[in-house]
Amino acid sequence: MKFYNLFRLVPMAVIFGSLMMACDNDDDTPPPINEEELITTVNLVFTNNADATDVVTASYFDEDGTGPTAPVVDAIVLKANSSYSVSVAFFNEEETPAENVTLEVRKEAKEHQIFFEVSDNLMLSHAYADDDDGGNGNPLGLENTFKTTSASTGTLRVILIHLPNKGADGVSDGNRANAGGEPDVDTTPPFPVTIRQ
Amino acid sequence: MKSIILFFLIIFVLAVSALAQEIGGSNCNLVLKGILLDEKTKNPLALAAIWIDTLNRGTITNDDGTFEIRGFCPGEFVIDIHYLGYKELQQTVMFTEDQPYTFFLEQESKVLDEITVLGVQEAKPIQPKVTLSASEMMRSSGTSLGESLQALTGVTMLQTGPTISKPVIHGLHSNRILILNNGIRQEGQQWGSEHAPEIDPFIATELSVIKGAESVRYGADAIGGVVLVEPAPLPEAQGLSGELNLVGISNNGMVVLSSWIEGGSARLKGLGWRLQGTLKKAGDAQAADYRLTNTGLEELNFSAATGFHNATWGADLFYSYFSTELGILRSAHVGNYENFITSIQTQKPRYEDPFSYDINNPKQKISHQLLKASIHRQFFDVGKISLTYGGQFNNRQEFDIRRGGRSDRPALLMELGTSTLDAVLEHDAIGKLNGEIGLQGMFQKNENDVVETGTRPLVPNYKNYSGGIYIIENIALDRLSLEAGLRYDFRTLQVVRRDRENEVKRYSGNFNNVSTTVGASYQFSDHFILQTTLATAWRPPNINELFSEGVHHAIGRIEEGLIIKAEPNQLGINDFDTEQALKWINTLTYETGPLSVEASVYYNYIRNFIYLRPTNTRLTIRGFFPVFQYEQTAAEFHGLDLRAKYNLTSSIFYEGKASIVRANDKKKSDELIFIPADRFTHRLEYGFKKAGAFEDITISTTLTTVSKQRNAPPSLEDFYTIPEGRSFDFAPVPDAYQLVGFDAGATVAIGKQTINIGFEIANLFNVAYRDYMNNFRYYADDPGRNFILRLKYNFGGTR
Repeated sequence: MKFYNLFRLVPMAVIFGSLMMACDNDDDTPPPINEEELITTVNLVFTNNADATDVVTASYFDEDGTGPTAPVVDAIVLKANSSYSVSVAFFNEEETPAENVTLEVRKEAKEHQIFFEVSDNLMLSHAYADDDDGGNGNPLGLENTFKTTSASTGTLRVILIHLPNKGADGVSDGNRANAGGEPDVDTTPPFPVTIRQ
Repeated sequence: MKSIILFFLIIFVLAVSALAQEIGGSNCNLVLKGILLDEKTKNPLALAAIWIDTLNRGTITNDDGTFEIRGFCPGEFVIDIHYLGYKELQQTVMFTEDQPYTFFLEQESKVLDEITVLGVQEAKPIQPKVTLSASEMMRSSGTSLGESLQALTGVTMLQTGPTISKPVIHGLHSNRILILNNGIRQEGQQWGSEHAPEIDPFIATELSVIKGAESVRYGADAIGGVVLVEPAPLPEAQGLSGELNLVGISNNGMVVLSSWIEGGSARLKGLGWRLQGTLKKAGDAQAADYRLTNTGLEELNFSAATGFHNATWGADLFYSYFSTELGILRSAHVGNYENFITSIQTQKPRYEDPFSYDINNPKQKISHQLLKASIHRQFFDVGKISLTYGGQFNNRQEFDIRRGGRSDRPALLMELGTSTLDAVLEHDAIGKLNGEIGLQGMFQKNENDVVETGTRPLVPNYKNYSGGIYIIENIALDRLSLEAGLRYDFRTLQVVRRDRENEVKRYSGNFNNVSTTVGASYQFSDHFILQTTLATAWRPPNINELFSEGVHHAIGRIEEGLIIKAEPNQLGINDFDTEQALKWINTLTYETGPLSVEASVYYNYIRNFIYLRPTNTRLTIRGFFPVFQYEQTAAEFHGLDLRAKYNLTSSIFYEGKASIVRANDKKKSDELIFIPADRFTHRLEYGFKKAGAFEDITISTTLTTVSKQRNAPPSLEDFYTIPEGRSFDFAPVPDAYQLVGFDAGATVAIGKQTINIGFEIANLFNVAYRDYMNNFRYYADDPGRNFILRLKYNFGGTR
């Protein structure tokens, strides 16, 4: 009587155990990962306002987003005493063909702003040339005007801020200090820029 | 969601109607009075044991042989009377109204033999176990499990803001602590520091912590200790009873409503049931100087249990559902390292909005379901065999601030299913030897929904097969109790992930090892007991420690596991060794007259200790990010827990507690990060019997002192110069702080029922402070002053 009952419990445990293993299906290959919000590339296109054939492009490329591979950044060479129209574009090149993230930024223009930080010694000035269509005349920063003066070298840092406080002091003029929000793009190290006579 | 709310409402209505019925005069307050006499001599028998098994209650007869048991519902009971030298009497009593009964006992002819005498002697507990007292439970009602347990010495808390907390035992937490929720090993996604245990503390009538490395009984992983969350046994007698709890908290506008109702079947004796539910709603917490925006919380939990028990067998079925939605401090959502540095330098949150109950992104939505089915049976001459199945299903969704309308989609969606099966034989005494033999099996599967999230998952999909077998035996000698145990465990981990090139990679690892424990307790005198336990425990590396990958957006940092950080080397799971611990803990308990002292000293050496520390910053297209990586080293923990109680007068009572832990990286002779600072609590309580309508009144004040953690890695002097190999922290260690608390408690009789009332002021002087063990110390202060009101109403109860 005594151990007989015990031995009846053991097969029960085995049945339970095999049930647990059985709920396990064989094809467990996970679907490919599509990092939808990834931005790998920032492209800047400088078009000389005096000469439409004078076009300078530069890109900042980070193949793995937040992965360990460091970004690659192009140098920019501009002419002195010139005015350039500058457009900014963002891409996700993980996808084929590359996804144009600029469209998403434009669609959510009120929630984004691009800031341009020019190093002190570089003779380059920036002005916004677009509007976020929010009715307050606030800029977005996909279209810009840059003016060069004398020959110099320095850097240009491009920062895309998500959810900035556009009404804060100085923000609509391109001053990031009071903007808050979080960067979706921050080109660190910045673009090296040379202005030649 | 609606059906759940409906369910909760039903519980509530049932509770209220039961209450109304109670006040209406249904009488579960009958008094059973009786007298016990010798059958022949008719002399009264004093000090005989009276026991009513179905109610789990009893008493002892007075000098004149009389006795009284209060709080009866009408019904049929079996009364069990024991008296040395007399035959045991079991008599069924139909009980309808207060009336005295007379019972007669017959003298036993044969002399008691030796074995019976020895059988009375019980093994003294060997494992140091500390339990929250009833008043501590009352004072912590409405708080999370982690906060509740902090009242125990040696137990502190690891927090991620005001809403997420998890227990830390002797400096160890997360994967190194087992939480047994109603006897089932809690398997939530509790590996991360911001993953709190998915447990409603209102389920429990007993919360306790075992501080030894109790791996042998409870399973590998329990290197730090074990948390036991125990509900009360189900009622077995007829009648309805319940409890209603209401808690209001001023700091974050929290309202907590919790209730249970239980009853026993009239038709089938031994059949009982219980329904329980809790609802919590909180808004943004308030630090001393500012609002902690987006730290609201919403929680809805319920459970249902039924069971049948008699003398030889029993069966139980338990289901619980836990769900929470909680906001993560908006200011902790830093975009990159630059935001992070600003936050550290300004010592102010980056966002502050007026108080609100809204929970916005970043936030977490978690649900956890548990189904437990168990049967046990007493086999004559063998012992008690029990079989327990536990099924758990955990769903975790984390929402982020995202671009392109993706904020409504979770950025992390994981589903974790776990099945456990335990078979235990508690054998009958073999001579002086008592003990148990057990078998445990577990299957676990984690799955990410990357199509829904559109992100790289933080940990990959995996399957975990584990099993163990153990034996633990103890001997109770005169003043000495001895215990020894042995356990063997195996674990197979199968992982499949997509690497950065989106190629499928499979990993598999096998681990097996032995755990042992030896312990002794010796009673030097009636006042003085010494317990000592030496145990070895082990733990395979956990999934997150191997495979964490990517950015924790909610706290703006990159975390990487052992395999991922060494990805180019193509390492496998078995390239990393298991953690192996040796823990020695000694507890001394001294009790005499007004003084009682409990002191524990412990030493825990952990080989291949796996921990997360800041290692670097990483440049990405979004700027720099702080990087935290897992590392393996040899760690040494030692410390002291002290609790002293002293009755200064009959109405003034002092209690002092100290929890001290020291930890070092033995391999690198370096400090370990995130080790709790020394914590001291003094409590002075004044109690008196009656004042107007109030009874059992206590008024107390508490002083909590938390030292600065001096044994911590230094902070960076220059944010962009990261030391190689050496431990560091991004922000300086917060200063020591002192908090003063005040609380008052009383009971009020309403008719035949009572209400417990508690009023507390926490952080009375609104001190601005940051705790070293709070992950949000980089972003904001801990909460400020807080007024708390607690009401507890028991109805119809025997509890």
